[in-house]
Amino acid sequence: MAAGQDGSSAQARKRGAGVHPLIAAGAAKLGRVLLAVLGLAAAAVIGGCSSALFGSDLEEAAQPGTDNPVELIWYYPEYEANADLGLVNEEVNRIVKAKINATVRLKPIDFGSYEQKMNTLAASNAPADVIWTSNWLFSWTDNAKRGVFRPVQDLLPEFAPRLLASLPERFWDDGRLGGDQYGIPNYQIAAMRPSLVVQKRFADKYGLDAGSIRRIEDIEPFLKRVKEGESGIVPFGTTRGFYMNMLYGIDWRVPVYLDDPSHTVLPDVTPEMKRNFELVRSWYVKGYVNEDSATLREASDAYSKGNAAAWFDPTGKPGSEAEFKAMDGGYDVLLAPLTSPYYTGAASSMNAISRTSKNPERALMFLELVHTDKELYNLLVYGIEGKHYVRTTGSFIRIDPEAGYYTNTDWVFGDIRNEYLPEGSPADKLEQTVRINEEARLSFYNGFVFDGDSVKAELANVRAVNEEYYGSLATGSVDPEEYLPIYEEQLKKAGSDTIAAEKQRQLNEWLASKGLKRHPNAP
Amino acid sequence: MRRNKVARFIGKNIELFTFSLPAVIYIFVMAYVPMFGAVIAFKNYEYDKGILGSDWVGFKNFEFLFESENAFRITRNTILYNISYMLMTTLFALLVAILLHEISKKWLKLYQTAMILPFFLSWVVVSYITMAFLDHQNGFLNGWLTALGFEKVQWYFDAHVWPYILNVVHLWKSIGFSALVYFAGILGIDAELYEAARIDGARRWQMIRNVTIPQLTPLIVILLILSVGNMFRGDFGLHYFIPNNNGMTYSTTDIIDTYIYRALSTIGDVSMASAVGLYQSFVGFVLVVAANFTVRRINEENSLF
Repeated sequence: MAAGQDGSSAQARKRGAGVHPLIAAGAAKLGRVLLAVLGLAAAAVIGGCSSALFGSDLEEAAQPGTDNPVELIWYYPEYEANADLGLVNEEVNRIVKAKINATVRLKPIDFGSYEQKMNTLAASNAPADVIWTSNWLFSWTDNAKRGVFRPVQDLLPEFAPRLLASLPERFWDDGRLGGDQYGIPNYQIAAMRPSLVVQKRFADKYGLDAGSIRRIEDIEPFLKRVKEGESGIVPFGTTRGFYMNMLYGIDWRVPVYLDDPSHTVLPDVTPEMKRNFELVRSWYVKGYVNEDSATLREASDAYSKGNAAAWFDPTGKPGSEAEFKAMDGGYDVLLAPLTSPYYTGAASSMNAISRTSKNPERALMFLELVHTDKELYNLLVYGIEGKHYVRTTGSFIRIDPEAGYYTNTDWVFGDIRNEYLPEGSPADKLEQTVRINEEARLSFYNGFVFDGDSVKAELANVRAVNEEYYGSLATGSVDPEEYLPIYEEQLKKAGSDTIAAEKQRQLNEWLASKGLKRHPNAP
Repeated sequence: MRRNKVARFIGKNIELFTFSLPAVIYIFVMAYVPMFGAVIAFKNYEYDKGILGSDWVGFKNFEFLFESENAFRITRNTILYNISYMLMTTLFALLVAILLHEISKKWLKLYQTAMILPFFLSWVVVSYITMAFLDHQNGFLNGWLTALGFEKVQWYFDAHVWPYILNVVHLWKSIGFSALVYFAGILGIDAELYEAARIDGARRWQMIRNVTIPQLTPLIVILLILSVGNMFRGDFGLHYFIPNNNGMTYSTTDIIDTYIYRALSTIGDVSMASAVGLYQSFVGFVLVVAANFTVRRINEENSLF
């Protein structure tokens, strides 16, 4: 063996004869250098994602007081990037610095990519202090379970007592999961009142009395007249259709008929859904519905061009006339509610403290300011007075959408009871909101939260099926006669029955734990 | 003794090693180090516990993929599309390269530029160009169809037409670059071969068949083998942006890459998404090894390893 090795090394020597002696001497070193470089690179990479590898510990701030200055990071969604965000941010810091010795970095992300970007940020344990969350975008329950947020019930009484007192108990309930308070709800409309929105110019021209509309079908004669009388106008604009349980006498927390004494959880496809899809399809065939829903991405695409005469709004909140006017090219609109308001909860817009926050106390103090400081709140929503808006009479303001800061989302930031009213809002917008929140019908199942952990795979697959078929069916783009059975079959294959059974099981347990057996409306 | 040998081997090839160093570091950092992250596919990843601290769940994260028909569908789509892209691009690029060689040199620059331009466009831009053709209300195609008295077609809802559309769009975008490679190959063929053929009285077609194509064969084979290696890697931009991510076309447009993207961005479950990713890598690995094995059986010289 040794002889063979010697022989081959002799050969190597011969072949290597042409190499410059200096280089040959450095070669041994190079091997070590190579290893060292690779090792360093590996260390850098592993070091860089060590928080993802090992998790990051909750770092308790040494001084919960306001002696040391800190910087907070706040992620929230926005419609469009604002040129003057920097200016507004400076103003925000002026207020916040004076009051709690902190500065804030506002980090808005557009609605369309908020979920994706926040998922990525959260998965990489990126630094953040306050994160906007909800039950419809960047799901607060899913993310609380994944450990994105820090529970705050221990800190709230001490660091945000006025915030704690400012919201009704019902609101706080909606942000609690398994006894932990994750969500800090914004005060805004917590009820839904599915409504039709109609451009006033067409309602006037074609004699539509918004008050006469009781069901969504009632709008059809108007759509017909618009179709016949206008060219280039889409009678009804939509991106995802308008099927909602509340329109059809089905409870909105759990899919159960409102008057069902047996509390039977319904399958995903109901006769009501079929009726709805057939209605939209007939509108589509008659040319009342926009045909390009497949290439539209955001809900507002349905009306933002200003060429839709009517569209559907699931919330129908007081003051949305002004918001729609700002987004549909400046045309006035009427709101025709299709149901009485239902209490859907405060989880539709909340803030939460990130687990990666090094200063959760200060973050809460900041949120308290956002909720209770009128100047700060209006600054965040409307920008700088005199530059981005001017005050007119009373608490009304005139906004200049082109001035460089314009959010149109008062509901993202805190407590709308502190807000100035944009021109065009009803003068009693805030009173209406408060009244609706208090009077809205409460679901019989209020407080029941479905835990989908045991059916994770099924939920993922049902979601995939919905992405494939739901939009096209709900906008009438395809014939429900042909595709609804396919959709239903695919849902079954994806495990929708398993999910419904699990939901029923949890619901039964919940009913039993509440000592409830029969529905109060039951005969 | 042994150290010396290694040292000498490195010393002899030091220039080559130095050249390869950046690439080696890049591959090591970007491909080998993150490979340990694959364990995430077998865990219930919770951000606060970290990758190592999260609980093991075995193959639970793979369930959702294999319980539905999705696994089969996206695998089939990925492979079939890549085979068809590979064959179409090779065939048409070869054709164009030969044509470029045969036509007069006067307009050559113009043809080349016109054909290679799409190669530099991003898929997002291309998606708007295709939308101009396919849009239901205002698209050119439906405009022409109605002008000719036909019914409008709902392009973005009809899964059957998408294999054709995607192939055409892919070809349009990639042909310029591939044709350029083959054209360069043709230019490298010894002119004497053509002269000799001409003296022997060969016609154009005979010269193409007996000189150009045989001379290009090694190049064609190498490019084909290289693309087999990417067989399981779909073109995300093409399959996501061109069909506008519309649900009704998933059955013929969804590939593994777009599925992973949706799984992560809409479900937001890192573990499930990496389970799909791991599946892609695993099947891709099997495919490359199998392709290489086949090539080696036919012609050992051409195999990769």
